[in-house]
Amino acid sequence: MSAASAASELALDLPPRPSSVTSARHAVAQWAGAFGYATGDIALAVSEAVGNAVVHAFKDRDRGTIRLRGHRRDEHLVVVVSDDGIGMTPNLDSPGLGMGISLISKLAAEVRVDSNEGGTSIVMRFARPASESAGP
Amino acid sequence: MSPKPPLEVTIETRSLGQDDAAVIRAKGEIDLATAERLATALASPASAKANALLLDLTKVRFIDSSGLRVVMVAMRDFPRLAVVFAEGSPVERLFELAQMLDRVPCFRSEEEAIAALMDGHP
Repeated sequence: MSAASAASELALDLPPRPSSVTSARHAVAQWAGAFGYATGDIALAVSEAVGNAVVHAFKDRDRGTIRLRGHRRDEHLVVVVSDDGIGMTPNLDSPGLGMGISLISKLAAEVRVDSNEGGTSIVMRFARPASESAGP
Repeated sequence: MSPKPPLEVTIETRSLGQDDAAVIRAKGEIDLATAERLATALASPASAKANALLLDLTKVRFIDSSGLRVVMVAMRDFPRLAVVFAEGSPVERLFELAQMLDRVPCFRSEEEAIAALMDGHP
C-alpha cells in the first residue's frame, strides 16, 4: 500500500482485499473532515465503491490495484475509486446485495461509472451541505 | 493506514418466559472486512437453538451493505427478530437509504425489544 496525502488532494493505492475497504474509508473520512464536510455519507459511499472493487473486479486474480483519489473543486469534493480489474461483468456468485451503486447514487450529488475490460472507475461528487461552515 | 476495524460481537441468551432469545451485540464497524464475524454469530449454536433473535447495533459506529446483508439473513432465518439501534445512527441512515426501515422490526432499547418479543411482536 502506498499513500500520498496532501492538504488538498487524496491519493491512496490499495490491494484488492477486504481490509482495503476500511483503509479507504478511514482515509477519505479524515481527508473530507479536514475540509469541514460531513464524513458519514462520503465514507459510506467509498466503502461501497471499494467493496465492489474488492469483490467483483479481480475474480480469479490475486493481484491488482484499487486507487482512491480525491480533490476539491469549488465547493465540492470529487472522489474517484478506480481499479485495474476485469470491468463490470455479471456475477451470479456475488455475496453482496447488488446495492453498492444504488446506495452511492443516493449519497453523492453526482456519480459516473465507467467500466471496460481494463477496469472500472466510479467518480463521485459531493456537495457541502448548506448548513456547514467552510473548512480550511 | 488503519488495519481491520475493531468489531466486537458478543452472544448471550435471555429468557422470554417459555422461550429463549439469543442476544447478539455488535460494537465497532461493520464492513466487508468484519461482517463475517456478525454472520458467524448468527450461525452459532447459541443462536440456532434460540426461538428469537435480538440484534443490538446500538454501538455500531459504521455499517455498509455488507452488514445490511447480515441483517437480511437474520430476517430470513429468525421470524422473531428485533433490531436495536439509536435514532440518527449510521445504522438508521443505512436502513433509510436502503428503504429497509419499514421492513426491519426496529427498537430503541433492548428492554423495548425484549418486551415486544415476549408479547409475540414481532
